[in-house]
Amino acid sequence: MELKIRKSGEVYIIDVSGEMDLYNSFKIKDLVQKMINKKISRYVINLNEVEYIDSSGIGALIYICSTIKKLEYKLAIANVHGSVKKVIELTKLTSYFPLTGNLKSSVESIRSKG
Amino acid sequence: MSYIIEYVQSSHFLKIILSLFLIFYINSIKDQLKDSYKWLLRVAVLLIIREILLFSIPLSSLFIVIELFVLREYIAWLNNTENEKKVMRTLNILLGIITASWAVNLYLNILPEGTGRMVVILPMGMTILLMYFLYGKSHYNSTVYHLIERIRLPFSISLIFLYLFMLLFGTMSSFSVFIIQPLLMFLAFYLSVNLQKNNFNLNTSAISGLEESMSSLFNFMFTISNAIQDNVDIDDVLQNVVKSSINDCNASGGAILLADEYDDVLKVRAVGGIFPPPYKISSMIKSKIEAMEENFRLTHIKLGETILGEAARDGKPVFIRDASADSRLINNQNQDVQLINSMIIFPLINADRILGVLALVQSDKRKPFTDNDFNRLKTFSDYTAITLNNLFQYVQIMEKQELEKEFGIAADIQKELLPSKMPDLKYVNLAPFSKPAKGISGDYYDMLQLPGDRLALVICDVAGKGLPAALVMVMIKTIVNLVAPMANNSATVLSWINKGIAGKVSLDRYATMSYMIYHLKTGKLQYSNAAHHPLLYYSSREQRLSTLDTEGIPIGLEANAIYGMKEITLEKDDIILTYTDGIIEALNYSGKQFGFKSLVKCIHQTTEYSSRQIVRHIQKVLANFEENAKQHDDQTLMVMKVLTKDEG
Repeated sequence: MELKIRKSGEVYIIDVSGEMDLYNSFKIKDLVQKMINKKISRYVINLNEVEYIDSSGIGALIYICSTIKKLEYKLAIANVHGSVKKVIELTKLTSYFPLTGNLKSSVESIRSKG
Repeated sequence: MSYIIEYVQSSHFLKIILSLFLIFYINSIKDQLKDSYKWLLRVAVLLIIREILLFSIPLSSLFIVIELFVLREYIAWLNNTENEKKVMRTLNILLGIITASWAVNLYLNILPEGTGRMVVILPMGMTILLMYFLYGKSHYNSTVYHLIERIRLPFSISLIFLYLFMLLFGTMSSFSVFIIQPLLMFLAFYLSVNLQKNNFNLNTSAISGLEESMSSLFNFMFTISNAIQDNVDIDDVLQNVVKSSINDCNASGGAILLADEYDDVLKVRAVGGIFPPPYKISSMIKSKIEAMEENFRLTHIKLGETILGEAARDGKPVFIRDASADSRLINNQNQDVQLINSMIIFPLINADRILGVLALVQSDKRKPFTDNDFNRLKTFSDYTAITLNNLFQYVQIMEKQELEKEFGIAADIQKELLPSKMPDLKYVNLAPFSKPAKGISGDYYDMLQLPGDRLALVICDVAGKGLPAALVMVMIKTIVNLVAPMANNSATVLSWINKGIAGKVSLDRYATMSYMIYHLKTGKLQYSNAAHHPLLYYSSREQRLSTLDTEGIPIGLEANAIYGMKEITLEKDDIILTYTDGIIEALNYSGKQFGFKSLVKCIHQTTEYSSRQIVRHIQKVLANFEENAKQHDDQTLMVMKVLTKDEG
């Protein structure tokens, strides 16, 4: 799994690529934790390039999602499709996660919120 | 015609209808009466026999004799313990003598006419005996004390008054026949209505008791898992167990003693409150509480000696509500620091090995332990035993090897959690398959036989790995074991489990899980799903495979999550199958997944097979697919096939 960070105005976009599984999901958790420590408050996680996600990957997303919710920061998850979408549907978390379509609309949704 | 009028007038008709109605009523509330049902039914049957007999033989003495037997049933209802059986035997002999002399007198006519009225003294005497037992009941010796406390005064007073009237007016005078005798029947009604009400209240309190013990169990788990996360200090964990147990059962003291691996002795590992030693100590030591505590801490108790050693040797729990009558606590009877009034001991058993005992004492006579305390402590000790066993393994391996081996331990823990033997059942055959991947633990399945010809099937996949994930499994298993026997709704079980887990473990340790309740005789299957793979269901009649799913997010995310429930009826030869990720996501060398379709194909090929053969077939196909590729996730599969049902 690879993680890249870029910025679009106030919003930080995390591009994830590769496999989000047991062996590397902690990386994205750690990364977001560090960013939160720096008081960054607007995030888009872009899953466009993710080929495979397992329960630990979902766990990492849940963790990030709830941490950000608690702090009342903003989060959107973009480009959920293919096998990632299937797993999220299977675990019935489609309404739990802030899934916001493509990257553009995700960034928009974060920006428009307060 | 006049015959019929006479019949109706004789009031027997009315009383027969009354007693018939009584029988009907008692039968309609049979379930709520529980153990009292047979006594009350006997009372009603006696009453009806009496009316039929009196119709043909209108003898006042016959009335009295049967009245004595009715009273005997009331007394028998109160006296059903072993000790009290002697009382009943004496009473039965006495009644036999009375009946025999009555029959002799009937035949020989020794007693002059007119003494009939005086015979009422006999039932009055029995009423006084009944009152003696009614007033001898207390919290200590009766489970229906609340009821007895409420009914004993009206019950005794009415009986005494009714017999007094009979004594004054004669048993067969029209006043007695029309007014007094029917009133005696209403007493039986009165008793059954109150019993029903009482048991209804008891049921409601049992449910709220369950909820209460659930919440104390959750707190307990929370305390323990916190103690584990800080550092793995076993004595610390034990101290926490004692503390929580004392709090939740309102005990005055508690202790955990663990068995020594090499000597056959119990050593005190944790004490809370004041725990008086259950053996003889000198008055010197007794004079100071600190000295007594010190003495207890340092004494090694041999297995089989003292009440603690006996519990550890036999592996059986001990519950002493009132210690004053118990020879095992002979050293704790005096009103001093060593006094024990109530005691509960649970052996800590894991996989047939006795690890030690958990004991609670209460020195205050006004607060004896209740059945609720006993049940709660049972759950605590079960959970403590599993956790202790895990910690022992953990500490052992940590001491020997590096931290990386943690995964291996988790796999061991998982192995011990899974049921080792499937129950052999007439109605269904069950077959599981579980192959943990090295370094990962997360799958848990269970098959429990429940009261009422029910079966609970559980499959669960905890996200994450290592000891923390394994501990979540232990939590889930403990809750399942606690609630499964009582729960009638699969969705309720999931929401209880979810409430227990949510907020107490890290969010990325969520679990997906299916819970099923199967009624063996009727074939009804309740299914609730917390975001696990949907259930596969093969109908043999339609020869069709379908999936079953319900509303529900994974366990552990939101405490108020709602779970759905679906009910289907299985027929003979129907198959249900449930599995975890590892099966359909198994990879071969070229990185291709086994897939859902391959699994479905396997089932279609084996619908005529037994569960075990189906599992074996899937196992074979899967192994061929994987060749020797490394297994990267746990694989668990559970199959049930219906063999037969009780039709109708």
